[in-house]
Amino acid sequence: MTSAPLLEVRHVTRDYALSGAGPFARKTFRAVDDVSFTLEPGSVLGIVGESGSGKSTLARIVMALDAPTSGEVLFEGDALQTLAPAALRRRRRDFQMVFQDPYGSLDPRQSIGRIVAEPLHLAGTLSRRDRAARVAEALESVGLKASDSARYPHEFSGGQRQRIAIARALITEPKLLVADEAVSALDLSIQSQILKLLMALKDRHGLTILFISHNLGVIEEIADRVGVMHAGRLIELGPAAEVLHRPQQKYTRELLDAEPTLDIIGRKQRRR
Amino acid sequence: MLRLDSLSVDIAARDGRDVRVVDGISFELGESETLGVVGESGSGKTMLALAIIGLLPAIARPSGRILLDEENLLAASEPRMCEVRGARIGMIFQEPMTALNPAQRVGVQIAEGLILHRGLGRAAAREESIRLLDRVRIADARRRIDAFPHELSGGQRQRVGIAIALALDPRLLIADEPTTALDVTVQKEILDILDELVTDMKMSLIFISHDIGVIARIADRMLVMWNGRSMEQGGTADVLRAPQSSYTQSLLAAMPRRSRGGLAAGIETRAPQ
Repeated sequence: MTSAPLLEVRHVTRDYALSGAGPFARKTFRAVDDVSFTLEPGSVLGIVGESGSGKSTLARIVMALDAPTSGEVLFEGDALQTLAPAALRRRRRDFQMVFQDPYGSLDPRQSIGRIVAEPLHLAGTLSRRDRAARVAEALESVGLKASDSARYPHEFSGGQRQRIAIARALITEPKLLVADEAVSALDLSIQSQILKLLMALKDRHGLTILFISHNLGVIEEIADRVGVMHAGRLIELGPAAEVLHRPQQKYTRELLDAEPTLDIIGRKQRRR
Repeated sequence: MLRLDSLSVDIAARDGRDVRVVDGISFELGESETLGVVGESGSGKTMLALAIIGLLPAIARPSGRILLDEENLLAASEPRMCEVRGARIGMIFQEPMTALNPAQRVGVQIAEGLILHRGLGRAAAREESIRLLDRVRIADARRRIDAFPHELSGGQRQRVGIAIALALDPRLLIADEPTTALDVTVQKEILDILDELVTDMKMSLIFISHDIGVIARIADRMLVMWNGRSMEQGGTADVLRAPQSSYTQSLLAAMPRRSRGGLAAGIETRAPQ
């Protein structure tokens, strides 16, 4: 890998103060523990972990929605946490996020056009016509119609809503997309469509993706490299084929073994 | 033991028309047998479960027959169904945190059915509750019985949910997405426990899930539902290795390769586009 990294996460740790510990007791919970990795332009890093492993906290820190207790996040060489608020706001157009719940993440009272155009204030002032053109383009790039911008979220299915959320994330033409459990709430057939869409966007626009999921099967479909998080630590990181087929860590092996597959059909007690 | 004869459920929509959410489902389930019901959201799988246990919403009208040991549950009175629920059919829900009462110690919640239905005294019910917690492999049951739900992990809460369903020794367990909210390592333990119950206690189990991998692991036979209808049913291995319905084929084709496992190659070419 010769290209400069798009994203560099250096020794990031995030402690949360535990409530009820008292004003002078320094009891903390370490949600993310000394995590480091780099992300090359145009690549997909999958982060897999169980609930409470710290993967969503890590996503929030990468998105500069939360600050690390120590360590730093470099986006194209700039330390996000040291940028002045105005400079950070300008940078935000370069990294956008897609969330798990396509029902909770779209305001039901706003038209699709307004929802998708929302991040455009990050891109500076645009004429009404330019704005409409950008919305149309974003909707079409995720397989929806430009005319859908006049409709409202309740008129769309879960899979279509997730496409709308992706269109919103793409409208500022970001370099990095952070997807936190972005397909977990979707039916199987819709899930595979959204994964194909993300892959196509990556190929077409050179999009870099940080894809966070608890689902190993989904991670394997989309990721070039895979990181495994456990109790706040990134315990294993490497090419997807290595980590998922020749795991080095005991925990990764347990995770892989626990995932049900069609290789084993029938009840254990009957199989004996 | 359980037989469904063309069970349908209609729900009255606001415009006065009926929507058929379960459409002519028939199957038989024997003792110590597990039926997996798989389907995507809106396929009618949860309505099917609620119809069997008699907990359909008031606007739903079931028709057909549900025979539990030759008794038609659809014709049973509500007082009779109250006896059937718990004593003969136990139910396990997806989210144990919402199924449990957050203000009561778990022991009290397990003992409730034992005291009401089986007339046990407090002390006897407590001993029986500890035995049930042991049965679902909760370590240190004697201490855990006095915990509140929020003091337990998600996996432990689901075990308590299973213990409550087991309390009256029902012949049939219905589990609706019981592991969907759990991590895979915890899911594996819960599946092992259910497997054991079916084998050792000769219970029958209806296991509802959107996850074909989980169904493959737990079910002897499976029913594939779509839009309220049965697309296909049969032995789990038969359905998964040689799916007859194009819907089942497309579901399998949509699975991530890893989850499809060794079935990957054969299925892909057969899937409709």
